[in-house]
Amino acid sequence: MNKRVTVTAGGDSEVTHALSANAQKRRGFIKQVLGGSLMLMTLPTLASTLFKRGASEAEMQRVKQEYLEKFSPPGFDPFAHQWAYGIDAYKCIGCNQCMTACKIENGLPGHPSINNRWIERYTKLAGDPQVYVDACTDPGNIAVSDPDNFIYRFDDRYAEADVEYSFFVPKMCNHCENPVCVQVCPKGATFKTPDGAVLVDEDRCIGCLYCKQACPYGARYLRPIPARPDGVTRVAGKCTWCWHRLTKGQGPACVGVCPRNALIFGDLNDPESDISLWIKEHGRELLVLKADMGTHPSVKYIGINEAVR
Amino acid sequence: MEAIHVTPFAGYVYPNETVVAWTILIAVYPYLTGLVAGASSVSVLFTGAGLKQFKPVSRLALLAALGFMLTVPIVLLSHLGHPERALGAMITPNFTSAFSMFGYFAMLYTFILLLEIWFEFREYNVLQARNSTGPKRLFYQALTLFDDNISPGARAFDHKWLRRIVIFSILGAHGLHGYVGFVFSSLKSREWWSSELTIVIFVISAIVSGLAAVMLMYLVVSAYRKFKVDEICLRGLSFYLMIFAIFTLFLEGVEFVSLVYKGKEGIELIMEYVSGPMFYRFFIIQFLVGAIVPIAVLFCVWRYKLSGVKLIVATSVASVLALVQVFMMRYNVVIGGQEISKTMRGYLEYQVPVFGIEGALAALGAIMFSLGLTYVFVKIFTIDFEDEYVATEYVGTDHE
Repeated sequence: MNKRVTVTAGGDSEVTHALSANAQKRRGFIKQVLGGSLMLMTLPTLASTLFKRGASEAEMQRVKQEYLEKFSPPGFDPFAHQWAYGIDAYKCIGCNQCMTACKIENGLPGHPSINNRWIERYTKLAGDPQVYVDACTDPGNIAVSDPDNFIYRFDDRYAEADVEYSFFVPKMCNHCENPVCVQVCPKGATFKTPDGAVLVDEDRCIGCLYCKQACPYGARYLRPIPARPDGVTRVAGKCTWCWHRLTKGQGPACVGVCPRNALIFGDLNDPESDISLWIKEHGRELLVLKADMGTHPSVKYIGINEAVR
Repeated sequence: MEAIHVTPFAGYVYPNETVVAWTILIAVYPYLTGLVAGASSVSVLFTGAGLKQFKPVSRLALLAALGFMLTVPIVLLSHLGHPERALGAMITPNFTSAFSMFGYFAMLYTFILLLEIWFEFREYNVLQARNSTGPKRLFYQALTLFDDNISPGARAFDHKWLRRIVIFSILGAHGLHGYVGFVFSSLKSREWWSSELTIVIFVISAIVSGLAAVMLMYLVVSAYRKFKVDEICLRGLSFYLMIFAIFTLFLEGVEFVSLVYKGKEGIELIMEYVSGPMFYRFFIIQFLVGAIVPIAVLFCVWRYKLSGVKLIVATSVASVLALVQVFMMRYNVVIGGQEISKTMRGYLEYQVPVFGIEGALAALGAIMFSLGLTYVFVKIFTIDFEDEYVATEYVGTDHE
């Protein structure tokens, strides 16, 4: 099978190479594979550049419109608002009332592993470099809570300890300006409304939970019970800023029940709104969670330190 | 209310994270796409690169690639909350999603693979149709798409096109599997996944799993049909397996060392995790038993030119261990990535349930299903491993 091939080089001198026909073919094959690789790498890049601002945007607009038609009552113009949320950790006392109100308002189970929002307790003990964190899923806290009746409490594990500092941090979906969940949703079921809320169209969601993996804040879960009477299970769930209430001129349930006014919500387009005034007052102190992720959260904090992620 | 399975954890993890979203079925998914890419590579060694010693396993590898590929969507759909809506993700996709593009790539590659198989087995199917009657004749006629021209000119045409298709097939297979790596590595939220090396490791380890799977299938078939294995072929496969296993081990080592060396925030937690609940899965099974041991065995095969029973036993052991290694790597990526909390203050200790759609039996069932499909394909195309008829013409040599 192997053939000796004589190659004439130059003109006068004849160089004989012992190349098998197979080896030549193999080289040809490898060249073709490399050429094909280049083509395959170039084509999708070109295609994605072409489609990025065309079909995708149009599709997202259609999804938005569809959702607005379904859920937005007449008279509510989401394009007229720009919602934002503030959390004053100096004021939060960890009463978990916001969590209870949220679960009842949004039809969530009492189970502590399925939440639109939760509160974390950060504790630093004297002489110990570590900062301890616990929340509603901590066995100690579950022992003093009654999740079936939406009652959540923190235990008193640090009652006898020499505490250097301790504070509470409410956590929730950050309704990012650059949301990773929206980027990765294969069907465009998760989308950002014109007023800044990140929502899930439960009629489109396929329940792949790629969004749950992508969210750096652990804000998503798979719905075990429907959100509304005609709703479905096994779709992605998350905080909506109580968008169904916003469309009726009301604020999120959590903000309304906070006994210390630690939660601030409002329209940035209105300079006299609570959130606009709060941001104006605390502008230099404002922090966001995991800023390095490039998600640009719409939820701003004051009163937290570098231990909070 | 649907059952909520809470995973035990240590330290602090976000409350919603205590319910693991992607379970063992999602570990089977990259395992299968890897097997597709690997089996496709084995097939191409003969049909594309013209390495004749791999002729006995070339067609088996091609059919195995199809068996694995057809199981991939079943695994993915089984895991979705609403599989009935999945088609919509292809009709109205979100183009910024890495996941939405997978469906298109998978469909394109399956089409290329089917085309390759159609060309490869066309002559055989035509002969089968000609020599049969009734439904069997109709069946094989359907497989040829009712084209029974096997004149020398038609065969030359087949060979010319097969050679072209093979190039896209191998690129498509590795592109698809590399893309699966991208589905994980593109997520910045998880430190364990967001490594630049993930895609490369996925592709190289895919070749390991494909080589090992085809070797093992060939050995099983030889034992079952009682024919003498082609030792040159087996030794060749085991040599390639050794080389790619070394590459994989090296890259995985580099990835882990660079993670540790960079020492970014949360590295203490990762070290606690890999030396704790992940120790056996990661260091013992994935690195020692799954990589170092088979490399040593395959080195002996190569160095001492083992033959006969010794060769069969050595290659069997090495291929089983290599398959275990690659599966454990997929498991450690998918499950391990989720076990390390996004808080970087704690980790989960996930236990695979035995029963249920997210259980070990379902995962095993998916793999067995892909093997069953391969068995059916081998039956349909009646590969005779000893007959010279097997791939009588291949495109990489002087048959043109």
